[in-house]
Parts: sequence; C-alpha cells; structure tokens
Amino acid sequence: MVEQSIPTRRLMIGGHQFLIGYQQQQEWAWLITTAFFLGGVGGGLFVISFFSDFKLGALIGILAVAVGKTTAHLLYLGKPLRFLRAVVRWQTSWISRGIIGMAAFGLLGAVYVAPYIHISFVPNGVAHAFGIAALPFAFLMMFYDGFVLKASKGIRFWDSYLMPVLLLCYATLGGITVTLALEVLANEATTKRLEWAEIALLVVNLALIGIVVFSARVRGAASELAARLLRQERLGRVFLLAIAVGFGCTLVLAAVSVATHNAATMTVAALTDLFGHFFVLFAILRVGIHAPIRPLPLRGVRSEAAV
Amino acid sequence: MTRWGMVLDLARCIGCNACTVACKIENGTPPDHYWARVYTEETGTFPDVQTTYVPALCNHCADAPCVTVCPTGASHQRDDGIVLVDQDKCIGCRACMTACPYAARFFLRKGVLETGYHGERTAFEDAKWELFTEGTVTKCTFCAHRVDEGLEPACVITCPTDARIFGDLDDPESAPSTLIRERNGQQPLADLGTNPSVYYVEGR
Repeated sequence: MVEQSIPTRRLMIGGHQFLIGYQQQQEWAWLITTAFFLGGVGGGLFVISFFSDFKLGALIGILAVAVGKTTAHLLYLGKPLRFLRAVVRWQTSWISRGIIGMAAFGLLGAVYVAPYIHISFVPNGVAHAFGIAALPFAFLMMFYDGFVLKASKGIRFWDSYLMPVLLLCYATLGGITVTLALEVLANEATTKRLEWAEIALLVVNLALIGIVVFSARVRGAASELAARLLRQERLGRVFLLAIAVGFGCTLVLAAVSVATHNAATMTVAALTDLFGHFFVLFAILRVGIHAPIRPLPLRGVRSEAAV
Repeated sequence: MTRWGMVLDLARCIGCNACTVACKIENGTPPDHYWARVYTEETGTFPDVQTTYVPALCNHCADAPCVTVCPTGASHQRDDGIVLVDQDKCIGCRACMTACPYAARFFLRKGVLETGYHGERTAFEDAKWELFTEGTVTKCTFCAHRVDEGLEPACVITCPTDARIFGDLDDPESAPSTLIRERNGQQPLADLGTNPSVYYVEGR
C-alpha cells in the first residue's frame, strides 16, 4: 500500500491533490468546541446549582448558554442572521432540538433567577416553578451535542452512543466543580456530597474516555485511526495534556480541598477541570476522520493530524 | 416512481477529469468546489503498483444523513431521489459536511465570490454565481436542471469513455440497473446504511 498521510487533500487541479484516503474533518474546531463546552458546563452548572439552591451558579449557567454558547454558534455560522430558521427540523435534527432547548432554557431560567438580581416581576414561588420548568432544557444542554456528534455518520469515531454519555458526564462534572468553586468564592458553605461526587465523576469520566478511545476499533478503520491520532503527534500531545491536567491535577486538588476546604485549591481544581474538559472536547472534534470511499487498509497510513 | 442514479465504471475511467471540467462549466462552481471529481487510488508496492481512477460525486443517498441532520430543511430530497441544498435556507452550520461520509459537500467561504478565479469576476462568473450564496454549503445537484428537461448530467455526456452511466434505478431495464445486476455494482461505504444512488463497477 502506498504510504499516505492525514489529512489527504483533494485532487491535482489548482494545487489540490485528490487521492483516495482518510480525511480529517476541517470544519468543526475552536468555535464549535467553545459552544459545546459552554453548553455542557452551563447546563450542568444550572442543574447542580438549582438542587443546591445556589442562585449565583444558576445565573452563570444561564449566561454561559444564553450568551456564551449562542455567541460561539453565531460566530461560526455562515449565515448567522438566518439563525432562527434552525428550529424547523426538530423531528430529525439534534441541532434544531438543541436550539429550541437553548431558547427555552434561557427564557425559563431567566425568570427563575430574576428575583436574585432584584428584578421582581413574578413572585418567588412562580420563579421557582419556572426554574423547575427550565431543568429539562438545562439537562438537554448537557448531552444534546453528543447526539449531534452521534448523528454524523460520516465520522465513525463520533458515531457512538458513548458520545452523549461522555458529554453528559463531563457537563455534570463541570457543573459540580464550578458550583463548588463559586460557593467558596461567594463565602457560602460547600455541599459535602458534591465534593465527593466530584472525585467520583473524575474517575468515571476517565474510565469513559478510556472506553471511547479503546473501543474505537469496533467502529471501523477511520475510527481506529482517530483513536490512534489521540495518542500520537500534536493532537495526541494536546489530548494527553488535557487528560493530565483535567484528571491528574484536578483529582489531586479535589482530594486536597475535601480535606482542607481551601478556597484557592477548590478554585484551581475547577480551572484545571475546565481546561481538561475543553481540550478533550477539542481533541475529540479534531480527530473526526472520514473514511475513504473505497476500502484502504490502515497499514501504511501515516498518522499526522492537523491541529 | 423514478429514482435517479449513476453507475461509475472503474474499468473505463481513464482519469482525464473531463467530468470535473464539464461540471465546472455547466454549474459554474466557485473555486475549490469540485462537485464531480476523480480520485486517484494507488495500490501495491514498487515495482508492482497500480493506479485506479475513481470518479466521485454526491451519492444522492436514499437515506441521506445530510438531510437528517440539517436543522433548517435546506438539505432536502426530491421525490426522484435527488438531494439538493436550498441556498436561501442554509445557515452554514456545516453539520451536513460532517454527516456526509463521502466528502461531497463544500462550504462557500465569505469573500470567495468577490474576486473570482482570476482576480476579478468574469461575465461567466457574474452569470453563474448568482445561484450561489456565501456562507452556505453547495453540492452536486445531479444537474437537476438538465434532468428536468430530459437531459443527462453534464459529467455523463462529457465522459469520453462512457464511465458514467445515468438512469432510473427503479427501472430494472435501465442502463445503470442492468450494469449493477450484471457486474455486481457496489455502493460506496454501503455498511453505513445510507443507500447511495451511485454504484461502482470494477474491471470485467
């Protein structure tokens, strides 16, 4: 087999090289990573904060989705002014469902936190009911991007139900770490159960990442190549750094903060977790690889991914 | 019911790229948009190597994942199986590009239509590019405008070796159906379940 590298470009016309080969997806990168990241953490933060009755966390969760995620999506779109059109195909498209969820979450959540920011147009009881109504949409924010990836049949590494599970667990972890950090920074008592849940979820997420990477072979050669890229070259280094910081550092810091309740330690633990979360997502998006239209054995394929 | 499809005969394709050029002329596609293209497949180890030319285009899948993921309905399928993108509805989210297993979709980046191929737009580009909108996704249309008039796609009529055979897949006596039956036509990446309307037949 003639040696090929990743990505292969297309065709020999106008400087292009059209070789049969594995192609790294080039479309979804920083902005989509940011949108997925903010959606997950924002949704998780709202859910965890709601059950902890911590309104500041809920407010920041709503802002992360309504401002951060929405802005990232709008910056990415080729035609941002047509954004609202994206709600019409909710029957089949997870993007449509997500956008409807984002709008509902933003509106219902805003009413929930309104009394906290001294905008009292509804009684507290009604605001709380809106918070309950916002919960399913916040929950949707935590995992729907995983189904967006799952629906990408062209990229076998993403085409797995592990993706929504992984994103849900990451969103929950992000919600917990940020809630703990914000509680400490706001001089509120942290919930002991959340501190232990953080440690447990770190272990669960690490195991999930391992399952995603090591089960990739089951989903075909392109998926196997994607998993190989996560262990090699520049993307591999990004991924390993994200794992080391996101899990290694966070686990140590979380254990220390459980023992000491040190505010600085808890804040740094949240930051290292978020760093790991973001770059794991980035690496997973960037190793999206399209299989060649005709079978091409992986033997002889040189793994070089463009970051 | 008609289901338009195409058979690509790998034994006949000589890699001349006439289809690529014919598509460019017929549809006036912008730079870097190759709706019809010819891949080069190199196999073997020196000195025993072989080159196969593999023509490719949108497969107009019966179960098109690009249509399923599209949040606006811009990507849609006609009753005759042709998959199209409505440039007025597309928001440029590019979900269809990641969903398409065949790299058959192209994003029209901002600014591409301003200068044209040669620094300033030609009259030809002015005329053809009215159909394109920057910030949206484009793809092969199976030359739907020609098919609707009873003509074959431009890549098909241009091919000097008859390597592209177009017709109704629902008609068992059509040229593509016969070829698929007689020469064991294979759909690309058939295991994905997209049911492409494009088939490949190998050497006789």
